[in-house]
Amino acid sequence: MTKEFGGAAALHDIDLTVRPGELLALLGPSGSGKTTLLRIIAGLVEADRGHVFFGGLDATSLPVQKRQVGFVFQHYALFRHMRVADNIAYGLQVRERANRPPKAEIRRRTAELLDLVQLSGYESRFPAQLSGGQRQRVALARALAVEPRVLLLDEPFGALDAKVRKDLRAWLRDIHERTGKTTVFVTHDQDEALELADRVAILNQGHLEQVGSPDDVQDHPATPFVMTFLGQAARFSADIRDGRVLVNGKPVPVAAQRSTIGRASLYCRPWHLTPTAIGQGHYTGTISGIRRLGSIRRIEVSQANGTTLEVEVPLRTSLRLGEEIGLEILDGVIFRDD
Amino acid sequence: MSDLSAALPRPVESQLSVVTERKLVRWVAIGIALAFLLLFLVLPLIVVFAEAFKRGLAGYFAAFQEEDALSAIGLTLTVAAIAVPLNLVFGLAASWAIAKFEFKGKSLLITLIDLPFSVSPVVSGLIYLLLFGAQGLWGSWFMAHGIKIAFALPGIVLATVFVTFPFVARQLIPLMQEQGTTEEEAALTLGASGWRTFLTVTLPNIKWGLLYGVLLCNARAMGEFGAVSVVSGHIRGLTNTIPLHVEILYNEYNFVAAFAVASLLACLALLTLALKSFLEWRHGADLAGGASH
Amino acid sequence: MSSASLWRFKQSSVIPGFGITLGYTLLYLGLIVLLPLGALVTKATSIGLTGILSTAADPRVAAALWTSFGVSLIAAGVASVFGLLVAWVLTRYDFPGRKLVDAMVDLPFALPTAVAGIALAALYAPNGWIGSFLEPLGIRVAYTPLGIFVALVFIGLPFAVRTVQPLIAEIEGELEEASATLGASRWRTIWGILLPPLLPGILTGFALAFARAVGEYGSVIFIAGNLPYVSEIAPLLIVIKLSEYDYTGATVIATIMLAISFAALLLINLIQAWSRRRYGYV
Repeated sequence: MTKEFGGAAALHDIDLTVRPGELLALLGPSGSGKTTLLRIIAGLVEADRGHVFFGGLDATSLPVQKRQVGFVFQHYALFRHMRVADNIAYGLQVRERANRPPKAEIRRRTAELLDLVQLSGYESRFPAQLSGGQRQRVALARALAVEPRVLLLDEPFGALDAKVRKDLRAWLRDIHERTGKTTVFVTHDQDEALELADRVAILNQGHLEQVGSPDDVQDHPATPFVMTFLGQAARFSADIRDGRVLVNGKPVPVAAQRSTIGRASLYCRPWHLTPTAIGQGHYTGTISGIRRLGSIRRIEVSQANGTTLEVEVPLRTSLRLGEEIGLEILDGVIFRDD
Repeated sequence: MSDLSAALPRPVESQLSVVTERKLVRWVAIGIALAFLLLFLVLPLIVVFAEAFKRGLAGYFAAFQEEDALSAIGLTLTVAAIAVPLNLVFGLAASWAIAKFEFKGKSLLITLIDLPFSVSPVVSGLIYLLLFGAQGLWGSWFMAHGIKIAFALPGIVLATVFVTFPFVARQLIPLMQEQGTTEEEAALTLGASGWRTFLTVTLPNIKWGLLYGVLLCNARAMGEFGAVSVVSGHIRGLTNTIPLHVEILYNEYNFVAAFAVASLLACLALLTLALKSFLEWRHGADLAGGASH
Repeated sequence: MSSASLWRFKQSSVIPGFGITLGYTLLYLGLIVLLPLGALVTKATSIGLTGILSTAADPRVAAALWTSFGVSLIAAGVASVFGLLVAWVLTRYDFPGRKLVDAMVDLPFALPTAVAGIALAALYAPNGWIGSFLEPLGIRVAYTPLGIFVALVFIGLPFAVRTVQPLIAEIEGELEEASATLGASRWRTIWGILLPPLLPGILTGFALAFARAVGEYGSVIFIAGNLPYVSEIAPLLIVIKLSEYDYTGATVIATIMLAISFAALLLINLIQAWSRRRYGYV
């Protein structure tokens, strides 16, 4: 399955392939174009250039009604004047007579889907009588009823509170495994994307920054944006000389990527740094804060110029607030400055 | 994604048939709606002025030379000058009691305040005749004491107050309910007196809504026909308001004069609409949900 | 009202002025609205049900009531249909002059009824701008029940438009998109998804327009011709009875009209309560 896009106003030359049966997350900050991309796939927005393919089928000029996509809206968009069962059956009811399944078949499929989303017994309720999580599940069942080529979810957990969110995540993963439906969902929540998706596509300002498995994008971020977006990272100016990376003139145990000489940036996670004595290591600063995070501690190290970075240390540490220390870089990801 | 759609040019979407109809359907619908409004709203307005100026400017202004016309205008202004402030004070008191406090029977009270809107204008006049008319409950008592209410200014004022009764209150109640009581409570904790709190905190918050209500109240007070017609007794030069004068002129086949005087009221209506639209456009957020009737 | 009993029915509050504002509200409401309406009820009670029914059975009274209610029903229906169309066009489509047209919709609220009445009469008279077109077609509007209908549509239109307009504006775009992604055609979406939630609003607008139309006087009498048994409306008959000093007859007609408009109001409240209970919105 291939989807290619020329930019709409907010997207630039995006080439993304979603593999059959996978669960793909479109991740990015607000304004990155992820929802626009999802709406282009659905046919709710037209791309200025480019094509959308479902398998071998060019769906670009196919109107939304004919695309057979299952779209779950951010606010569910349930039809409030219809009962739960009628909501789910709607996509089958509106088919032309020739393609419409017989009544009994529609009823059977509705019951099946209600069972799948664990809402059997709720068929004659109105949406107003359901909780947020239940509405979300009805919306999903309604989208699945039309046997879509692809399931598209726009911020599926955006409107729910934290507890329900967690439960539904596991449940969505479970549904995906049971139906095997190719699924694309949009989220701005890194944890959600990394926990749930087979692969994550990271968007920024209309550009596709990287597509890869959760491990891929975390271990081998393709761009500084991906590095900083997925978690806390400190940036160091670095030089690359003779295939070695130097920070403040001292070598760092990081392999220089396909480069010989030049300026570069080294990004380090808090666990890529370790404290050492003053004067040693790559960096010197004063401890301006110590916080406990579960089984480790995080210390903040500040320099006179105001820059602060975070370092992870063991729970039992002799470091004290106000102490001046050095920092050694153990690892990191290097990007050439252009 | 709502945060993005604001930055996106909207037309990209509206070209699709997803959220709107085909262009042809749109324009046919617009055409029918506009034709209907032209027929039912615009033409009646235009015909008032066309008929008024049928015999030129001279014919138009001749209608206002008459003493009866001038006294009708005077009476209408007098009635509005009494009725509107009365309902203004009532509207403020009622909305304060209803919006700032929780008490039992509140929704019944709101329903009762709305009651005059659902009473026919003619019945609104009739009920005052039943009280103060010659055969009315108290008519003979007032007559014995030399107080004329029916077929005189007090009756006209009372009927006008009745038909315009809910306008100000209706505008203010939802507005003040929406604003809640926190600002007043803040002022009170800062040491302001109740009256001062009302003047310096509440009133500035509701002034546009109040003006809006007064505007609609005044338009109805000056234009009321049915109720006033019943209680006035149609005494020329004495108990005729502008709308009643229009009726008399029209029934005397003095069409140019009738439409000339009517054009005054039409201008008042247009002015009211213009001010109303201006308030909605400029201060829409301060008018709250209860905009139109 | 003692302050002790006051505290029981009112939740405590630091805000002052409850006693005086509520007291004034009740006094003013009592004097201006309840007392005069009470006079009507008293009078009606003294006539009694049999008296009311025998007056209502008078052929001229019955004919006027039929005319008023029948024409009001039809006019409110027509106003509702066109009101829906106007509200839809004003909210969903963009065209030059939209704001101006939107403001004009309130004209029947603002224009004194007598002015509307003589203007409509002049337009639809056989030699009027519109009447002269209809005359050759054999259609007479002025001085017939059709004239009453025209005036009542005019009066009812803003009610029909203004009750559905905010509902149309509130339709979530996601609903139509959802319907489209599920394969529904545009017409199907309009009929199946967009219009049903508007129904309570349409019915409310209809009831408001109807209640107003039944009592309408000024805009009707000039165009109606006021022919007894044909184009005489109930409010006019009240005025005629009063001019004959027949207070009893006037009271009977007024009582029946009041009962009907209260029934219409009750209907509105029931519709809204039902809609709120069922769908979670009005």
